[in-house]
Parts: sequence; structure tokens; C-alpha cells
Amino acid sequence: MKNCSACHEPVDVSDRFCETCGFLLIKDSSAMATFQALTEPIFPNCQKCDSINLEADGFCNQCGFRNPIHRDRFEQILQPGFAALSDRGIRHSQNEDCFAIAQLADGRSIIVVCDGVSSSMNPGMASQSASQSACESVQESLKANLDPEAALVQGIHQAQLAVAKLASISKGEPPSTTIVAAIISDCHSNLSNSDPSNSRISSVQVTIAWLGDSRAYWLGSTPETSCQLTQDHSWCEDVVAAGELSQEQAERSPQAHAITRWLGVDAEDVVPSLVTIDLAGPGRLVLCSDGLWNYASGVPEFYQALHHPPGTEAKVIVRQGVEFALRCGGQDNITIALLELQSKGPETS
Amino acid sequence: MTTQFNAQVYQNAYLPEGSQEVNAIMTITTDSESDGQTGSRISGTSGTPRVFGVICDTSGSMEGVKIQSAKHAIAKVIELLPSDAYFFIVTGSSQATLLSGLTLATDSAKNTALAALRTVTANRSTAISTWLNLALQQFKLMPGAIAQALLLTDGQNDSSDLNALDKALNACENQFQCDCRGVGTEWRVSQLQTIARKLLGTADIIADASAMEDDFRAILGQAMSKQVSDIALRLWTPQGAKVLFCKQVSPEILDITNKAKAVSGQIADYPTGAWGNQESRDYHFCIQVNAGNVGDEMLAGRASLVYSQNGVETKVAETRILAIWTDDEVRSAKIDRTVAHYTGQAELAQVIHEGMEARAQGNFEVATAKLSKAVQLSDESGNEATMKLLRKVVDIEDAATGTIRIRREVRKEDEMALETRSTKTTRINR
Repeated sequence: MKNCSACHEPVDVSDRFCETCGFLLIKDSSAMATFQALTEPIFPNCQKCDSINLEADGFCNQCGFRNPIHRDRFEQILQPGFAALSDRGIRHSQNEDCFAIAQLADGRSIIVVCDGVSSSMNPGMASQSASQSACESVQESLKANLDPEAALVQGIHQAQLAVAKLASISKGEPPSTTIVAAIISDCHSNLSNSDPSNSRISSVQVTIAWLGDSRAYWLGSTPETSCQLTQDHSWCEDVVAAGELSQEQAERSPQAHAITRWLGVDAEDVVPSLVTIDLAGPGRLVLCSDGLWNYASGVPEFYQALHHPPGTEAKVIVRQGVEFALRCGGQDNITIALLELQSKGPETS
Repeated sequence: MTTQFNAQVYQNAYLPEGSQEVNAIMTITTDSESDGQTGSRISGTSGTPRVFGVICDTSGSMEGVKIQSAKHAIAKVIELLPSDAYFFIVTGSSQATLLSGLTLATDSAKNTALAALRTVTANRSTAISTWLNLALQQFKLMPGAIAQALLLTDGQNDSSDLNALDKALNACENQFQCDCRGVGTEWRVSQLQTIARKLLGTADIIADASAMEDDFRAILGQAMSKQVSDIALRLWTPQGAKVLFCKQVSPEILDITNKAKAVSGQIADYPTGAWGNQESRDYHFCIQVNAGNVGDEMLAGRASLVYSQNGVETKVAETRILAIWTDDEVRSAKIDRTVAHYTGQAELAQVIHEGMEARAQGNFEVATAKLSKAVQLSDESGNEATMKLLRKVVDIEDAATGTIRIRREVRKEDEMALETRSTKTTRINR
């Protein structure tokens, strides 16, 4: 017998979703270990009144205050050059962002970042269910030799099913979330066979799919060689693209940040935007929620916020990125996933 | 037979900085079918016995058409009683008489009771305390049963009986529920409402004695639909919190704040009486909590239903009431529409009460202002039943703006109907 990681009710091992709350039940045991404890409190005693009588989800049975839970700030480090961090921020009482990262045995990497829509019901569960099911699905598809674009389309379809499952149980506005997912395929091995010295400037193929305003950036060695890889599905982006308003005018509008596409049963169109690009390393691929890019929207500012000398560990960069957003006000949840793309061959210098 | 309880909370959990008041509406519905996986069940021991007590005024003022109609309507109730129910009949004047003692509603028991009923005549004065005490005695013969009564009277209680009535009500509270009906217009609305509220029942007017039979039939139908009794609404609140009020707000307003029974320092039980299947009620909680900082989230209350049987306590349908402090005014300024609706319905009942009181004292200026507001509120909330009653007391020119004229000549029964029924609320479409 195991328990649902969201509502802690007992669930059947063979079930795909929790019967009580509709939450995705994670199959992969290592991912399970990462995600299961997320909703549990960090400290054994209440941070307000010191009582040790805490509910499984952090609420104090004495004073009622919700204590920090692991979900409020959680980090995953897969390699020195591959890490992700998600943080509640300052102004929100809960972290409604989520991420899932994975690396296949053949060296391909998967990153998913989701940002639950605050006005919907259970946005935190939506982002967690969506990121986890997308990541699981993409891994399976790639192992079954699907090409990256097809794998991402399938992954986002699975994420949509997971979010829809939540809607069937929770009442009110159906749960919804943004999603940005990337597959990073290592292409340098062909080069390294013919000329080992060339392996340092190998190129990688990155395929990205998204719905909403969570973004992907490529950070090269200079601002000039960096770029934003996704284009938001937002009111602001739409009116600017249509030539109705200038970027500046649109950003001043109160609805600038309203997203026009998302995952959820109330979404009209859940076929993601897709892009595949070859990137010449070295550099860093960053996927993030708007809790970060709101404070550094343009590429030069974003580059500046996350710039670190070569060789800096990914976990250091994501932590400092979160610190940067918190210093700027932390108005929203902040999620950053970062993969360093460097030479795969031996260092020659 | 099992009764499945489902609960849902409606609230805007977001509070502005420094705010301490948390409002929430809890909707509780019951269902006999176990089709859904959600919700939780309470099973009464199959066929919890139901006892129905009839308490009928036979004081001198009942003489004539009123006692004839009452005897006729009670006879109908006896005939309609299901054979697995128990019943008794108490008649009362200055003292109470056990016309028919507690018995299973077999055909022969019914015939005996009907024969006794035919001998009833009306005389002497009114001491309601004695009637209730005798009824209580009968209910106590069968503890654990679903105990419900119907009390019919036509006049005021003797002033010498007022203290005794208070005492009797305290003894009867939580022992049985009682719907109260006043026939004619010589009885006092506030007196009957006091009895009904204490005994978790309804109070209403039967202006015309000929309407009695239908009304009694409806009361019996309701009573026989009950499956489980003594359900308490359990509310946990955080340390330092205070429950400002707890009210049933649908189908009608019943303030149960003072009925709270402390279970522990942070937990109180509020009685809700018996529940039938396919019932739905709304409760309004108003809780004062210690203010949190912006970004803090607090569990301001945990509400559930509790049923005790043979010392075993079953807790079902737990829901949460939250408080989240934010500096986002757009979020904190929004009042949940269900909370807003019932706040409006409570105000409607209040202004009708105040308006009618002012009117009775001849203060037509205050009465006009209050009833004008009442017309606006019932118009806004689509409470057509209350609007219909208001129309008999005021002339309405424009309901939306509350432009009205007080009628000087109003039939007594219309006044009393408005007063007794003003606590009936409407629901909103969700």
C-alpha cells in the first residue's frame, strides 16, 4: 500500500491517478522519491508557535499556520552541469510552479517547467502532474525511438490528460498550467570520431515545445550570442505581433501577462508551439517561469542576471538566479532549470 | 440505510493585510445512494426508530372551528403514520394530558388514538411548559430514536408560565426537535419562534384553520424522511481564534452560535438535529483569527459532521476554511458571491424584523426606511416568497430602488406571516 503524494490518501499500486484527488501517481521510483515528500513540512515544529502537532501538509493543529513544505523550495541536481530549482517567492503563499528533469542513458536530456495558473483550482497540483507526466512520457517515447518533436507532442498530450484528470475531481475553475519542455540531443559524437580537437565546439540539437509564457533561453558566452528560444502565448505578445501596440505600450497594459494558451480542460488549443535548433556550444540552456524573467525580460538583462564564469556549477547558477528574483521582489513563484552544454572531449588546455 | 454526507466550502480565502475576519459558507448535502466515490457515509442502525409527538393546544380559546380543524388534521396525521413509526399525543391547556401514550403506529393503536381524539374538548388556560415536559417524558421512553414533534397553539402562554417554559425548553433542548404552528392571530410570533429555535424546528402561521391538514401532512412527511439524528457540526479553530457566529442560512436562518458545546479548547460541536436523504443546508461561519503577515496562509477552521452512536463517534465530510493574507487588492477585495448572498439574506430578515417592530410602535418613518431596504434586498436576491409577503404590508412603486409606501391598514395575519417567514432564504445559482 502506498499513499498519494498530494492528498496522502491510500492508493492502489496499479492506479495511474489517485482516486481521491486525481493526482498523477508517479511510476518511476527515483522520481517518486524526489516528488513524494514535496508536500510534507520541512521542519518538525511549527515556525509560528513551536507546536509539534503538524498536519502532513504543514498546517499547524494549534495555531493554524501553514508551515513551509518542501514544495515551497525544491531543488534537483542531476549533474554538476544540470540542475533545477523552484521557489515560492515572497508574495505567494504557495509554490504553484513545478519542474521535472531527466537524463537518458544515451546522454539526451529532458527539461520540463510548468507554472500553474493561480486563478484556477489546484494550480500546484496541475503543474506538478503536468511536468511529471510530460517528462515520463518523453522518456518512454525517446526510448521507443520517436523523434524529439513527436516525443514532445506526445508528452504534452499526456500532460494535458493528467491535468484534465484533476479537473474531473476538483470543483470550480478547472486546473490549468503553462508548460515548456525541451529535449537536448547531443550531436558532437559524430565530430569527435573524425577530429577529437573539434569536439569542444560541438553543436547540440535542442527541441522545445510550449504553451503559455514559461520560457527557454540560450545563454552563449556573450549577450550577442544569447537568445530567447520561445515566444510567449500571451496577450502582450499577440497584440505586438499583430502590430496593434508597441512592445512598450503592450507591457504597460494590466492584461499584458494574461496567457492566451495553456494546458487544462478549458483550453481551446493544446497543440504546442514547436522549435528545433542546432546550438553551438559552449553555453547554457535555461528554462524558467515568469517569476524569473519578469525581472529580466530582455536577452541582455537575462544574460546579465544569470551570467557566471565557465565551469560554475549549475546548482550555483540556479540558486543565484532565484536569489536575483527574490531581491527584485519575488512577486511570483520562481522556477529555473539549467543545462550546461560544453565540450564532451578531454580538455585540451 | 446509509446516509452519505457531502460538504463544500465557498469563501474568498484572501484577506488584506491586518484583516482578521474569515467568512465561509459550508453547503452540506445528503444522498442515500452510494454512487459517487467522494463524500462519506453515516449509517444509522438500519431503521433507527422514529418517534413523532403531537402536542395540541386545547385551551378555551381553541373552542369552535379551530379545535375542530385541529382534531381533523391530527386524525389525518395519525392515519398517515407509517406502521414502523412510534407516536404519542399530548393535549394541553393549564396542564398537559397524555391523550395517547407512546406506541407503535399499528392499526389498532391508531384506532384507539382516533377514538380518544374525538372526545377532546377545549377549555381552561395555556401553560405550554407542562405540555413540553409531558412530551419529553414520552420521548425519554425511547432514547436513541429520531425524536420529532409538532406543536399547535392559538394563543399566548400564560404570563405565570414564562419561567417554567424557559426551564422546560432547557430540559427539552437536544432531546427532541419541534416544529411550531400558530393558528389564528392571537398568538405571539416571538414566543413561538423562541420555542422553535430552541428545539431546532420551524415556526409558522396557519391563518386559516382549513389549511391545517395540508401543513400537518407536510410536517409529517419531513419528519418521516429523517434517517439519522443528533448530527453535530464540529468546528476546529486555531488557538486564539474566536467564532463570531455560526448560523444555518438555508433553507432558513437559524443562529446556532450559542448552542455550541465545547469539545476541547479549539473544538466545538453545534447541533444540527436530524437529517433526511436528499437534504441540503448551508451554514455560515464567521471566524476571527490572529492576523498573519502578507504571504502567510492559515487554516482558519476545519468543519466536519459528527455522529455518535453507542459511544462510537463517526466524523465525515471534513472541509477546510482558509485565510491567506495578500497585498493584492484585486484578490482580497472580492467577496465570495455565496457569502455575499447569505450576508444579504441575513440583513433582509433583520430589516424586516426591525421594520415591523417600528411599524408596531407607530414609527412609520423608520418602518419605511427598513422595509424599503427589505424590498431592495429581496428584489436583488430574487427572494420572491419574501417579496410576496412584503407586498401585503407595503405598496411597491419600484423594487430596485426600494421606492415604497407603507400600508396603514394591514391584515394581522399578513403581518404575522411576514414576521415568521422572513428568515426563509433563497439559494443562488452556482
